[in-house]
Amino acid sequence: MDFPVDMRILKKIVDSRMSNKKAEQVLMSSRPDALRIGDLFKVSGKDHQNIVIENSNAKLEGIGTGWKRGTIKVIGNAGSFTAQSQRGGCVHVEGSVGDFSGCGLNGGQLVIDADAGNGLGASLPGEKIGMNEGRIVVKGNAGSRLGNRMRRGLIAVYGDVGVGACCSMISGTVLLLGGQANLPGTHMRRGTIICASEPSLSADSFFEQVCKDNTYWNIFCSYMEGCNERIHQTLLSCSPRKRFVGDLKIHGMGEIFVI
Amino acid sequence: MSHPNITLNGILIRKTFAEAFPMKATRIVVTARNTVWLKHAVNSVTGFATSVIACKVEAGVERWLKPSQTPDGREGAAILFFAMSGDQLEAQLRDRVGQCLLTSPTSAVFSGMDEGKPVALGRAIRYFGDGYQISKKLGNKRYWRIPVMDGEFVCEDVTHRIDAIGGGNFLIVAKDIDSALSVAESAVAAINKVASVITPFPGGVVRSGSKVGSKYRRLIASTNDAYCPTLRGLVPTNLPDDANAVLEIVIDGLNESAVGDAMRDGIVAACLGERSERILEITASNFGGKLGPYHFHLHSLIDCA
Repeated sequence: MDFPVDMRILKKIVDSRMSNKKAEQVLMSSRPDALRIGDLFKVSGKDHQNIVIENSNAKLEGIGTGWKRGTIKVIGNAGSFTAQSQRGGCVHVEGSVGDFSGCGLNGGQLVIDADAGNGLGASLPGEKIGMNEGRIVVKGNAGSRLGNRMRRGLIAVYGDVGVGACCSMISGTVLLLGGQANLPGTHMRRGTIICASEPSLSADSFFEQVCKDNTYWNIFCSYMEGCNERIHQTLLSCSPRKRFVGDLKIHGMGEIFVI
Repeated sequence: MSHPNITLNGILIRKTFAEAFPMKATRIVVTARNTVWLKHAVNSVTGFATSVIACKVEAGVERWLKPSQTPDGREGAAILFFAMSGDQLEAQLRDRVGQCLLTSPTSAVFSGMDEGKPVALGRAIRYFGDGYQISKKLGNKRYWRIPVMDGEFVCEDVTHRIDAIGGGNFLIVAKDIDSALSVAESAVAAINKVASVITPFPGGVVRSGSKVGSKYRRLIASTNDAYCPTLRGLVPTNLPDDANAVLEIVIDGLNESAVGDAMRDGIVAACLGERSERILEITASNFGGKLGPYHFHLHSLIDCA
């Protein structure tokens, strides 16, 4: 298909537990010329809690929107707004996801095996807060404005991130385990950013602290043991070398650990 | 089946029962940088917490924890608190954590109980951070990081409280104080191995067992005169002729079976302990069933041993 497909309908179909035949008859939007599910997909199986979308591509937008329980496995890429306002369960994309995925995430877990677009876990334009709960794990790279206005929860990116990561962050925890991040945490108010490489920081925005109290760090490492083995091992193999606080320009009290 | 008279290692076990009553309880986990500072913190927070009569709370170490058993990977202790009401428990916990653990260098405090009604822990004392406190939510747990002069005091937001039992007890009646102390120490050592219980009194032992009421109107409890050797001849006594010392062991526990197990292990250890040949009998304190609904019959406990 070469046109965007709104997949937000998926949750309604799963929640209503309708038969596969009925599901294929569902209109994908309220437009008079709207396609039916069956025009694009073949629906099979009975397990409403474990959905698999095969041969997915970046045109399928909004997969996992409002998802509450169970898992969605996406074989292939997913489009923009994946797992938007997800409230529980797990959305696992075996490829890449588009922009604004995980926006308004309110619980559960979004796992992305490849790359994520811009605005991952960030606030949507016009909204005041980004993700509010839950976890996002990106095994590849992530685009710009990662975790913008993020309110709570955890984002981990194994690869590199684009510009403006964690800008205006309100709270939560972000792990940047790839290369050097450029000016992360600009205008951050609270929250924790953990960087594997020393980021480029503006000297008048962040202050380097000498005090090394690792009590909370140990709790965080212990928590990660039950969440993600790879991250846990990464954290175990090192301890914070540096801690910066800021953004001082807005009297922020966020922290950036360099491990 | 109960017997009219039971002896254990030649020591008479009286056919009576210990009367226990409902309490509210919670558990917290305290950690610190090393054993020395952990013990300072624990001694402080469990100090003056022997009896609800005047202390308003009863507290003690349930068990010591290895680094692998604590949330922050440091040495720790599981501490149980018991009070007569949930409000009293919450107030005592807030004051004790605030005054004894927040102040103790390198300490951190965590919930030791995940079920029951929430009781404020860090939530109650975070304001000490004067706006610089940091809240971190990891999974379904919230932690407060309160800036203090040695770094940060990390404290979990809430712990939980459950219905529990206080006042499980037994009395060791001995020919002399040395023998009574010796077997009491053995009994407390055995009780300390039982999970979910504490012995809140000094060294786990009470010498001032009490009866309900007093000739003085303001006192709700006064000396248990029937077991005071120096009052023999002045008041009706429960003591055998050659008894000269009685020590009581009081047990608080999270459930009935834990208190029963602790009483049984304690009695058995007392009867088999060093100098037990100078122990005359084991009995228990009760108020005719008027104080509390939990009755631990000594013969039933020993039958199960």
